[in-house]
Amino acid sequence: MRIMHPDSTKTMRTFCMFYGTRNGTGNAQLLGYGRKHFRFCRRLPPGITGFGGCEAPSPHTRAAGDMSETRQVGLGTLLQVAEALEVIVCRCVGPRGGQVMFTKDTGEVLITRHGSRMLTALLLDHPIARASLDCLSAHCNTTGDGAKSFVLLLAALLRGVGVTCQRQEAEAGPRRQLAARRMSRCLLSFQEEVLDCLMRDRVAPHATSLLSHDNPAQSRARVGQLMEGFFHGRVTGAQCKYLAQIASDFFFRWSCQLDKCELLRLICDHFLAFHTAVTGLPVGRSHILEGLVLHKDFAVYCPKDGPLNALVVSVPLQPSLEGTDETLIVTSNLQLHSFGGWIGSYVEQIITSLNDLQVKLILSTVKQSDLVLYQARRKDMSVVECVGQAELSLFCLLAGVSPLSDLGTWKGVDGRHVAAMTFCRPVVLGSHRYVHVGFSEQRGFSPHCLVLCGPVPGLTDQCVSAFGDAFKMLRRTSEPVRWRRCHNAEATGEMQAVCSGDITDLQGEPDSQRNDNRPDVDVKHRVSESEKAPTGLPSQGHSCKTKTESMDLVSPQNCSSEGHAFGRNIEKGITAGDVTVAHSEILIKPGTVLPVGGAFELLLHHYLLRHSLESSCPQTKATCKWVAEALLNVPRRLYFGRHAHRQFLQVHARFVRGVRTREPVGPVIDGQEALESLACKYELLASVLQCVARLLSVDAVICTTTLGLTAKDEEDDP
Amino acid sequence: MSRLSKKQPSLCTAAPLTDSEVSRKLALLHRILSSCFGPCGRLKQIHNAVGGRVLTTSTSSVLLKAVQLSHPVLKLLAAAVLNHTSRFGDCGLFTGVLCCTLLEEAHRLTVEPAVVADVYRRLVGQCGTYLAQEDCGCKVAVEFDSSRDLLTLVRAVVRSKPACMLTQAEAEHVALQVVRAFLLAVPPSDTSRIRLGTAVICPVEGPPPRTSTTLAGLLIDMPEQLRAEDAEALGADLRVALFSTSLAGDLPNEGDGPLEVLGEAVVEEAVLEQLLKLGEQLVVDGVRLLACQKVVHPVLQHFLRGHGLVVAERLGLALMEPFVQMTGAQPVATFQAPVPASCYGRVGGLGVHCCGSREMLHLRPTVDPAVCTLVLCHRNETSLDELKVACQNAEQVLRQMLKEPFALLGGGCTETHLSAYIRHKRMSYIIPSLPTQSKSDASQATSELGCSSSDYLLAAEGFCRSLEAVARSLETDARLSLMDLCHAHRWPTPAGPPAGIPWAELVRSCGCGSMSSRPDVEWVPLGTGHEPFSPAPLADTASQPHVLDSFPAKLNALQVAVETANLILDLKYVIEDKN
Repeated sequence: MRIMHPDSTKTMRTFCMFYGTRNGTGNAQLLGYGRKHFRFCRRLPPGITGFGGCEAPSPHTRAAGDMSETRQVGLGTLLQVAEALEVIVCRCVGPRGGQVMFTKDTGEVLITRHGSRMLTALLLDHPIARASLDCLSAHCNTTGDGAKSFVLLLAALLRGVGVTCQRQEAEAGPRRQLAARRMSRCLLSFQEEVLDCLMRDRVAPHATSLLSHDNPAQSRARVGQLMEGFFHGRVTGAQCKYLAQIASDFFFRWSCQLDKCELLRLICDHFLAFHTAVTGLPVGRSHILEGLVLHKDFAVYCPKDGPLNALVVSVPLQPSLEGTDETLIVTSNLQLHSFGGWIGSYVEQIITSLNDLQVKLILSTVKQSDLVLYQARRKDMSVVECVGQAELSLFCLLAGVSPLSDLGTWKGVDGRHVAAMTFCRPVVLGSHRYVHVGFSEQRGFSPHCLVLCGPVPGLTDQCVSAFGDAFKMLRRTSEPVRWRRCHNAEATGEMQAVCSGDITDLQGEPDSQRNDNRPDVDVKHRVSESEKAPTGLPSQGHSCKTKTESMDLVSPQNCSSEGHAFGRNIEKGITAGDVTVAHSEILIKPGTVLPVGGAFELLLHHYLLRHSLESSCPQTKATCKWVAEALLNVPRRLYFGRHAHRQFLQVHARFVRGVRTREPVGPVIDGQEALESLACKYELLASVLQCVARLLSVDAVICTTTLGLTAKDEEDDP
Repeated sequence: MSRLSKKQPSLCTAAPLTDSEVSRKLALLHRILSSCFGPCGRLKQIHNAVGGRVLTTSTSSVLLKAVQLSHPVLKLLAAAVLNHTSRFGDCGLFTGVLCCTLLEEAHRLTVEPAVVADVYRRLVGQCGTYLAQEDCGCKVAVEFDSSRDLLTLVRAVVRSKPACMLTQAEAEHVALQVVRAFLLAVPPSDTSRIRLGTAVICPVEGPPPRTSTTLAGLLIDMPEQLRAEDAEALGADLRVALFSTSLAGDLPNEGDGPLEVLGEAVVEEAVLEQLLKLGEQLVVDGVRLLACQKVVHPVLQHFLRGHGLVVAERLGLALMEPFVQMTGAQPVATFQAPVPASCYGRVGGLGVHCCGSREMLHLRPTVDPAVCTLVLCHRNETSLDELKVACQNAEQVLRQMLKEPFALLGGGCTETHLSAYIRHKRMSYIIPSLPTQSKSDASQATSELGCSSSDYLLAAEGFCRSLEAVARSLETDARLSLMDLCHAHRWPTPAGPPAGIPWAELVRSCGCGSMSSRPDVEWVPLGTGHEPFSPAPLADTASQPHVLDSFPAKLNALQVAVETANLILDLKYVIEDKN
C-alpha cells in the first residue's frame, strides 16, 4: 500500500494510524478522507499484549518528517489484541461475572463491572486496542450498555476473518491483507442489505413490547425485568433485584403526563442532580425520596411546616460596588455612617418585601452576605447559598420559574421568580445535611430523587454509574430505531461487484482517478466511508444528521467533531451528487424487548443461517455464516462451570425448536424473567460491525513524536 | 509541554485473593484488629520513625485512620470499617474482624467464591430477619423507665476501650456522666421543642477522670479581667446580646469596591464611633453579657466593662449554635444599625467552673436546659483523646437508640446465639424429621442460589465459624470460651484453669451477664462444633444483662462486613494505576 504524506489525504486509499510514543500524550490518529481524529486510551498490561504481534517495519514505508516509524498491522495483530481484551473481559461477563477493583496512588478506589470503565482503567498502550476501546466507549455513551458483549463480538468476528482468510490463502495464495479488506467492505453493505431486513422482518416479530397502554401493572413488571437484566451485568448478583425494583419504581413514581421519552431525557440529562450518594450504609438501604434534594446545607434554617414559596436568585441581594466602575467618595464620618445605614435598610426592605410575597425560602447560586442572612433569620426565612448551577437550573425547570438575576428589576419580582413548594426541610443523608424540597403537582408530574447507598465509596460509585446507564439504556429502548433505505441500488451494486470478485480497484488503482470517472459512486463512497467513522456510531446515527426530525437519535455526547464533520460531508456529497435520501422508516419500534440469556443472538444466528441458504450471492452467504457464528460467542460465555458447553448446546437446541412461529419468544433459560432491549442489541451489533470494518482497513501504524494530536482533538470538540 | 512524561502502565493482578501475599497481609490485619477487640483488648502504639506524636489506641476508627495499608484490598476493608463507624460510632472492630474471618473461611473452603458470597448474603439476610423478629432471643427492648439500660449501653462502649485507662469505678463515673449529658439534652415533655439539644464535650487535661462532670449550660473561656465574684454578683436572668460579625473596628463591607476618603473623614474613627454608639445602646437596653463570635475592639470592651457588662469574645463557630439554642438570642450581623430588641437572649446566671488549673465561665440556662457541657478530665493527652472518642461514640449510640429502642446482648452472646440459630436452620435441610416449613426454607436456598447442597452446607458452616471466631477473639491469652447448649450464650473462663475441674465450677456467668452458672447447664468449648439445636430465648427476665450492644450499629456492622467480604470475594482483578 502507498502511504501518503498527511497533506495528500484526498488521494489516500489506505487508513494509517499515527501513533505518538515519545511525547507522553500517546495519542493515535487515523487518517483517511478529510481530517478525522480520535483519541485512544492507553496501554495493555505488560505481558498481555505489546507490539509483538506487529510485523517488522519495512524500510520502504518509512516516511520523512515526524513519522519516525511505521509498522504493518496484520490480521494477526488485530486478533491478538482483540483476544487479549476478550480474556480480560470474560471473567466479568454475565450474571456470574466478578468485579474489578481499580486503585490509584491518590487512594481513590473504583469498583466496577462496567467493561468500558474497566478497559479504560488499564491505560491500554497498543494503538489497535485503543482504537477498539474508543469505538466501544462511543457505543456505551449512546446506549449505556453492552461494553463486554462488544469485546466478545469483536474478538469472535476477527477470529472469523482469520479463519476465512486462512482458507482463502490456501486457495488463492498469500493475499491475506487483500481478503481482509474485501471482507471489511462487504461488512458494511451487509448491514444495510441483510441485517436491517432480517431485524425488521424476522427478529422484531419475536420481541415483546415494554409498555402497554391498557395494562400498567404489566408495563411496570416489564420495566422491572428490563432493569434486572441490565443490573445483572453491572452489579453483584444479590443486589440486582432490589436495585432494579428501585429503578423501575423511580421511573413510575413520576406519574406524569409527560411523554415517557421526554421524562427519560430529563432523568438522563440531570441524573447528577437526581441522586444522592451515601457511603457507609449497605446497598440495601437505597431508597426513593419524593421531591428534590439540593446538595447543600441551609445557611439559615427556620422550620416551617406546610406549603411555602421559594425564590431563586443568582445575584447577591446586598448591593455592592464591586465590579462596577463607581467609586464611593466619603468626605465626612457622617456620610460613612449613613452609607452603612442605607445598605442595612435597603437589605431589610428587600427581605420585608419578599416576606410580603410569602417567600420563606431563598435559594441562591452565590454567597449572600451576613447581613442578608441576619435579616432573613429575623423574618423566619430559610436561606440556602451556593447551590450548584446545574441543580438550580433543574429546580427552575421543575418548578417552572426563572431565577432573579438582576436587582435592577427588583420591583418586578412576581410569580415568575416565586415557586410554590409543598415542603422544605433538612434531610440527613450519610454524614451530610441537605435541603429537601417538594414540588406541588400542578405541573403534571411529581419529581422524585434517588438515595443510593454503599458501604465503601467505590461501591457507591458503581451503584450510581449503573443507575445512570440504566436510564440511558431505557431511554434508548423507548426511542425507535429508524431505518434509512437510501443508496439501495448502489449498495446492491457494490455488493454484487464484490461478489463477482471485481477486486481490481482494491489492488492499487488510484482512487482519485476512479472517483473522477464515476462521480455518482463518489457520493456513495463518501457515505460508506463515513459509516466507518471513528465514533463507532451506527450508520443511521450519522444519516440522521441530514434530517431534523430524527436528530434525537444522537445523544449530545456523541455529537463529536467527527459526527458533525461527517454530517456536513454527507450533506455536501448528497447535494452534489443529487441523490435523494429516502424517507426514514421505523426499523425497531420503541420499547421492543427480548428475554435475556442470548435470545437475540440465537434468533439472529438462526435467521442468518437461513438467509445464507436462501441467498444466491456467495459473498453474502459467507458473511452471513461468519457473522452468525460470531454471534454465538456471547451466549456461550454466559454458561460456566464444568458442563458449560453441554448446557449451552442444550439451551440452543431447545431454543431453535421453539423458534418456528413468529410469536414472541419465551425465556431462554427457565426461571429467568429478565429482559433486554432489542434496540440496544441491534446498535451493539452495528457498532461492532463498523469497528471491525474499520480495524480491517487499517494497514499500518505510524509512530510520531508530534504533540499536535490531542490539541486538535480537543479544539474540534463542540 | 516538555515536562510531559510518559504514563506508566497500570498493574493488573488477577484473582487477588488467591495470592499468598494478600492472604498474609489479611491475616496480619485480622490479628491486629482482633487483638484490639473487647475490654481485654491490647493497645496499639503507632508512631513514625522520624519522631512526632505517639498514638496509643485500640479504637478502630483511630487505628485504621492512623495506619497506612499497603494493599488495595486492605484499603477497601478499612474504608468500609471507617465509613461504618462514622455513621454509627460503635462496632467498628466487630465489622473488621468479622470481614477478615469471613474471607479466611471462604479462602479455606474448596467452594467457588461466588457461591460462598451468595450463601453469606443469604445467611446475613436470615440473621437480619431473625433480629427483627419480636421473639428474637438476643434482643432486649430498652426500657426508658430507668436509666439502667442506658447506663449498660454506655458502659459497654466505655469499658471496651482499654486505652482510656480507667479503673472500674472511674469508668462507671464517666458512663454516668455521659448518660446525664444525654438526658439533659432530651427536651422536657411540656415544651414545644422537639429537637434533641446539644451536649458539648469540653476536654480538660490534668485532673483525674473522677472530676469529670456534666453541667447544664455552656462553658466558655474566662474573659480577661473578670473576677469570679463579679461574675456571680451579676445575679440571675441576664440579658444577652450575641454578635456574629467582628466588632474589631474594620469596615463591614470592605473590599466591596473602591472607597475614596476626602477631607476630614477618618474611617477608623468613624467605625469606632459607631461601635461606641452600639455600646451605648446595649447599656441602655440593659444587656449584661455581650458575646461575640469574633474579636471585640479593646476600646469598646473597656467602655462596656466600665458599665458593668461582661464581654466574651472569640467564641468560635462551634459554640455559636449551642449558644443560640440555650439563650434564644439571634446572632446580629451588623453593628451599623441599632440592635432590635427581639435579638436579645437570656442567660440564667453566670458562674465560674474550676477544673484543675483551668477557670471557665459557666453560663447557666434560664429554664429549659437544652444545652449541656460534658467536662471530661484525664491525666494525659493520649488517654483523654481516646476517652473523648469513646464518649462521642457512646452519645451517638444513645441517640440512635431513640430511633430503634432495642439493644443486643453483648459480651459475644449475640454472635454465638446467631451462629447457633444459623446452624439450626442449616441442619434442618438434611434432617427430615424437622418441621416441613424449615426444611423447605433450606432446600429453597439451594435451588434459589443454584448451588449444590454440599456447597451450601460448607459455606454456611464457614459463616457460623466466623461468627464464633469473632466471639472468641473477645478473649486473649488463649483463654477458653464455652457455649451452653440451651440458650447459646458465650461463657468466659478464667485464665490457666487447673486440670480436672468441671466447667460448672469454673464459669460464673455468661458474657452478657444475664445467666449465671447452674448445674443443669451443658457446655461445649466454643468453635469445636456441636449438635445443632434451636437456641431458646431467655425465659426469666429477672436477671438483667450487664453488657448490651447498640442494635442498629451491630445490625449495620453485620451487613457491612458481609457486603464488604462478598465484594472482595467477587474481585477478579485489581488494577493499580501507578502514575
